[in-house]
Amino acid sequence: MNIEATAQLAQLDLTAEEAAALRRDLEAILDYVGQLNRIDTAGVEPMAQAIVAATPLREDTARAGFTQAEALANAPEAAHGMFAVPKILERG
Amino acid sequence: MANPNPPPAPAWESIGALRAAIAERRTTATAVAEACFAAIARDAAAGARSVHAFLALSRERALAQAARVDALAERGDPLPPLAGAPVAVKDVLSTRGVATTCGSKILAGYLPPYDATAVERLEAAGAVILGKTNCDEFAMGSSTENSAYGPTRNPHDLERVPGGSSGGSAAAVAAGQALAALGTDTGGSIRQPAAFCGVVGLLPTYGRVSRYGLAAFASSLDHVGPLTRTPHDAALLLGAIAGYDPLDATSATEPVPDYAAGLGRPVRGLRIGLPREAFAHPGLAPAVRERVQAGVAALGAAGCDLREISLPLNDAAIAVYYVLATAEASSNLAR
Repeated sequence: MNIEATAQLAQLDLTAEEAAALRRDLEAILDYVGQLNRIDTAGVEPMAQAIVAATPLREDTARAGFTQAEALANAPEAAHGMFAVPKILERG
Repeated sequence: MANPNPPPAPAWESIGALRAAIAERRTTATAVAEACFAAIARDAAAGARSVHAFLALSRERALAQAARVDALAERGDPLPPLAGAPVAVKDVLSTRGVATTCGSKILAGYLPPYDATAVERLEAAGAVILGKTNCDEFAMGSSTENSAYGPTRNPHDLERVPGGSSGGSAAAVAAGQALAALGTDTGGSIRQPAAFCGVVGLLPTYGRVSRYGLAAFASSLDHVGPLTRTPHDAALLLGAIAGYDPLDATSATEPVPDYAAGLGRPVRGLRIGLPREAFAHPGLAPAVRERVQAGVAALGAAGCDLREISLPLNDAAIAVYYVLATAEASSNLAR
């Protein structure tokens, strides 16, 4: 497993110790997947969700939501009525 | 083993007793809320010897709600089912204008603009929301040691953990700082801390309680449920928070029965399955096995039909949990 490449995709800078710990965790999860793969599920119907009911729809009427001020109240920085966020794509 | 220093009991042993006392003007919701805040302040003053169940208090909101309940009682109007009950809320549930951190520094300073449905329904039923309780960060943990704001301690023995991730909620109830609390459970996070703290914890059926306003961990496993001092109080709380919510597409449309009314029914003749694989599991501590078997014996003596059953896939549960929970968490929390 290439921990370094996975970490880079997730934008994580790992120390050697963290990389080793993460490798152990990921290997444990792959081992769990392996355990599940060994279970015979032939003839078992897939269950996509526990509650099987039609999705109820609400009336298509206008209703009040948050005001712009409420929606932006927790923003560290706002500009022109929008969230202002730092640049995230700096790595080559 | 008897606890040499049991935590103080609250002035009111149950929600029903408190409601009756408020209705009969023997106490007020305001006095009860103030007593809870005083108990929380005494605990905070104990520093390193504190239980540290709460991360934030909603004093203003609590006293305004208590005043509404007291005004009803003064006029002799009927009181709602949770009238004046002081309730604590796990910090993964959104509370309007009250800091909500999920036990994480990432959300420090966040003041939600809305209430979780469960919180809104508790208040509508007359409960007084005291504040937010500590938990493992984003509800990921089983000891409430993994909070960015420091651990919660078990009120029965401060050297021990209260369990988790709803450890603050369980400890607040066990310490008599709240009469009831909301917790959340993805892989044991209500049931295990309730057991560690000696309180009642109930995991409702999936879809029974809306998760609107809950910081999602693993959506196919997340539940909201009550922690209380008595089963009757758990029934009252569940009755207040259960039911369909158009804001949660996974909430069930089934009607909500009167859970408290069902509690008096005899258990004679109920068929109870005892999964062989769980009792044979090498991870089951002998002391726990003994207590569970004592419970089984009590049910047998009460006339329940006990049957050993087999759940052949029991051992796969942990693998299923870790694959689903981690995948769903990374999808939910990447946003």
